[in-house]
Amino acid sequence: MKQLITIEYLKLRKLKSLQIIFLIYAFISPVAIYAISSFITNFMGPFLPKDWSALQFPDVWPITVYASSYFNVMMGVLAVIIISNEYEFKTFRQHVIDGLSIKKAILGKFLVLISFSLIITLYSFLTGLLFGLFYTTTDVSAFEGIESVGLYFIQTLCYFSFAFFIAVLVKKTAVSITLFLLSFITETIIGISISIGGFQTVYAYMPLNAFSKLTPFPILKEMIAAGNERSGNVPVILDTPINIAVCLGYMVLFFFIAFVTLKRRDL
Amino acid sequence: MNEILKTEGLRKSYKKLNALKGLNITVQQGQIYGLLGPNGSGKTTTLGILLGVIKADSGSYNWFGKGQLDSNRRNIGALLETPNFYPYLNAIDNLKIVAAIKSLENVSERIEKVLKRVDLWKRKTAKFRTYSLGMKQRLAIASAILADPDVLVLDEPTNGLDPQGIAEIRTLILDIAREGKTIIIASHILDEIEKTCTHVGILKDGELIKEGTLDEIMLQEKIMKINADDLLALKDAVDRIPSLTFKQSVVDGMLISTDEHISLAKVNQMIAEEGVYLSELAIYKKNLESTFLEIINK
Repeated sequence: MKQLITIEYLKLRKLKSLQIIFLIYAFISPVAIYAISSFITNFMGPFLPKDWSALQFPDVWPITVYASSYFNVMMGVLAVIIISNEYEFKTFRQHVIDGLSIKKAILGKFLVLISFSLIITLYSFLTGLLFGLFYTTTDVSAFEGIESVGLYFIQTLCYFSFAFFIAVLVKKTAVSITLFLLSFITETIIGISISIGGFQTVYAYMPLNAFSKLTPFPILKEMIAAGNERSGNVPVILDTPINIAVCLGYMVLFFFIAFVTLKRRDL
Repeated sequence: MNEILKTEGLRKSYKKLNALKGLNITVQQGQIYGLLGPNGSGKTTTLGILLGVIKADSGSYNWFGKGQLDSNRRNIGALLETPNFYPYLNAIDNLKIVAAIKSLENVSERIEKVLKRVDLWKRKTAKFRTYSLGMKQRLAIASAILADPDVLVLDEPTNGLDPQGIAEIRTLILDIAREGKTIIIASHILDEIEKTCTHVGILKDGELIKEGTLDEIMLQEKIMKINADDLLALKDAVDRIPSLTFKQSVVDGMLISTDEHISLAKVNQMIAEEGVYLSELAIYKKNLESTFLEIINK
């Protein structure tokens, strides 16, 4: 384990795209949290619950993870770059030649992705905590609603599993990134199309939609309830435990397919 | 002598192409074994299988008598096709990764030693992407010898290099060989193999069609160059002697082949008995290129 962490650290510590994406994440995600909370407070008045207090505990947690989740796509792109780079530079192959087993080489990548998830989750947690401590005026516990952060951690892993899956299948960095980003657009178009046809439930089970609903728009349930009263044609949101199970299922599936592909394929 | 590598019936196909058709080779300790063959003969596929990056359809290989363990490769330094490093890292950082994979100690000392050996120490902090092709090849060799392995496997080590670069790499390989290392080189550059290898295996269409020492390969039949004042009379004399075969005319004489056990003196005597006196008689050593082309075109 220590050997794999050392190897991955040596590879990544001077990777410019990693430094840039992490810096963008670090600077922009707090701004996004503040901007989204202001937007909700100022423009979504009719839907807001009575006790809503955007940047105070516990409402700061769903806003924090919702705003941060936008950057998961960016982090997914980073994951694609890191994995497909190994193919483009043929270093994955060279590591095996140098004596690393294929299993260990794959495990190294899992460790990187889990580390990234932990780092950005921890960063989001600290950002939310600081906002909460700064704005909260009541004596509500800082850890009320903290489960949102746990869901955010699962979500990052899910996106990474999808990025890993795409990068392993495609191997070329530019094509992988394009395909990764196109997947979001494609699934949204398909999802909206089938939802119009009355298959909202199917859309709810589609992978990227299910991932995104782990950290939903903070007042989504209130908006759906209002929409239901007006037209009845609203998106289906799975219950959280079911959605977690669906997302974990996809995550395992994506990692498994990538793992089997790597094990079987000539390098 | 210890057996370093033994393959048995290695087979590999890509869709309809049979890249390897049951390859059996054996490499002994201290040999510089040249795997020779035209493009597409299966050289890189063979090395890819032996280095764990290509899966054989059937057959087996055995390194150091320990089978196919991943850990065997830590005692093998290898360059397969192209030098593969992170372009955004410098030579030292790239070699640190190799050292971590091979679980080496005294990493800084080792890196300094190998970079000096391949004459890259002055460029140690330059990024890999800024290196010339020759420098990249030299870094790959530095990486291969970093762990001071018992075996080096080099696939086309002089590919794309200029004559000076080729000479540098060849000198480096011979220096390493003098330390008693076993070296396996795949190449289609016959001159390179002839100047560096002690043993040769010739591959054609995925099959090993000849294997042996360089001399065994090049002297499969005894060929002599002879000359006389009257070449027509000489040709007639050769034709009359059953144990001699005329091969071809060359500048200042002709080439003949004989049975392995017939000496130069005996040939001289037989031709003299036919009334022709030789002005020149010598063993004709073919170069590897002509031998290779004869074998491949058979």
